[in-house]
Amino acid sequence: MRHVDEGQLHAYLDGVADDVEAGLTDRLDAHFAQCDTCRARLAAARRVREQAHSLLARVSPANVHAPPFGSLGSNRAGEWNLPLWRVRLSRRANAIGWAASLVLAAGLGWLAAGFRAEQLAERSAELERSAAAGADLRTASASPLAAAGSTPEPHPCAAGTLSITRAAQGVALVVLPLADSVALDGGAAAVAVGQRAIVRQAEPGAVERSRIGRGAVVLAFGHDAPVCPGGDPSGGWMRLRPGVPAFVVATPRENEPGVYDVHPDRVYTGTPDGYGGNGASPLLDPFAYFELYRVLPAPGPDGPPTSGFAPLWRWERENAPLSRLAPARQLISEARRHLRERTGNGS
Amino acid sequence: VSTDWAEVFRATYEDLVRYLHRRLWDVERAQDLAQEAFVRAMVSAPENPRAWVFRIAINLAKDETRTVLRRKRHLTLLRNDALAELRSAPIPSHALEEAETMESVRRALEQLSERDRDVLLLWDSGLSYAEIADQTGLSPGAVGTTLARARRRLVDAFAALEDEHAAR
Repeated sequence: MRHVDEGQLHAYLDGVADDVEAGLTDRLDAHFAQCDTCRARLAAARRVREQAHSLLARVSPANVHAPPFGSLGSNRAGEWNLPLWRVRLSRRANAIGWAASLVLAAGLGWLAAGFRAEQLAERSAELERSAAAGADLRTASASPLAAAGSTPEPHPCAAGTLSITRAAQGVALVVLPLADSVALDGGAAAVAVGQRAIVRQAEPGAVERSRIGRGAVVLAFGHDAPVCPGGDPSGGWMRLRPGVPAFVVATPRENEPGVYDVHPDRVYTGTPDGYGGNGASPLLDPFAYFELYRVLPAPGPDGPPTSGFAPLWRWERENAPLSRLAPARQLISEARRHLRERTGNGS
Repeated sequence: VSTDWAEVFRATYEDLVRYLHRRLWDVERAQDLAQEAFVRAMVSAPENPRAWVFRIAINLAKDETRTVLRRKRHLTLLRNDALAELRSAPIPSHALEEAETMESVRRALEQLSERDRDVLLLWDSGLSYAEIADQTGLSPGAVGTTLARARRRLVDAFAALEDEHAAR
């Protein structure tokens, strides 16, 4: 007898060899008894079969039980009584409605995004002009979201602003300026030194190598290490895409009291291999986790390297589920509420 | 001979949902389609009710896959499609490893040809070689060969994905 083919090996292991060919099981048993090669192949096929079965078991839905037979189709009882052509027509109409909604939503989204981008650009230019003139940014602030027609919400601080847009990758960085420090999103850098402020928007995905801030409360959206494949299992700090600071560390700059330089090497940039690199990691969930920091006007009691930033608030979705429809808005609202509670007027 | 559909439903429903879930990766939708397959099947008086229900379910799954692909294309038009991603359930950190393994199995399955995947999933859902042959047009002998190839490719693809993951 020739060696047994792979299909017969698996049919034998599946116990259906006789269904494939009458008397095949007996013939294979006899062959295995005298063929070392096929016995070895049978063992290998058994391992593959068991591994495949085990893998499939990993993707079995849990806790699925048959509903009462009597309830079958009750959720569409009206539909089942319709002729098939009526059902198809109805579904097609629904599909067309769904497609139209998507197209409309897409159009509105583009329009709104474009409008907000214009607002943002105008705002950036305004801030740069103000900074150049040495103006107090607190009085020059405005909310792009509010200006773009979103529901106005109270300011988080006496004269602060809230700026949020979404980066191309879906990461948002929000900064609530309390003093003379401003930041925007999209992997944007906010740099404020003394009375001078530079606001610029980085390219999405760009790695910003330095940040200087003073008196700012930084609110960053991101995901933490445990949801990042290959991430640090210990978790702890946020792991973000390049261009968005996960955890900024301030160190005092000599001869400039009150101004803190964020050390470029300590801006964690989201790499699957560890902190500090420039690699991109897949963004699984930009709203899983964030922390709220306040930039201290002087080093804190803990000393370097984290003394320049004081964590104010930590938020995790597991502990505080957000609406699926408007997580950013809900998150911001929560942050504002917290700011009001913790900092009074936010300053 | 009249069919005891209640018994067929009881004996087949979970297998059917398992099959549909592995095609659609949406357990709620899998349950919907499983029920829809039964409702449609009960209109007929098939010789093999279980195989008939699976035949309908396979077609529903194919239709559904096409619909989902169309929707995905529309969604990519949206600037805020990151929000659409959020509709998927969040992954608790303690379940990360399990979630990653599931994702690798899913990706490995998707690397199989449609025929290989169908044969593998139908067998794992409890259909016999003869029933699979009836669904797919293969001979029972070819079902064994296809199943052997599908299993081997699934295991190999999964191992490759795990190696790739470990190398990162």
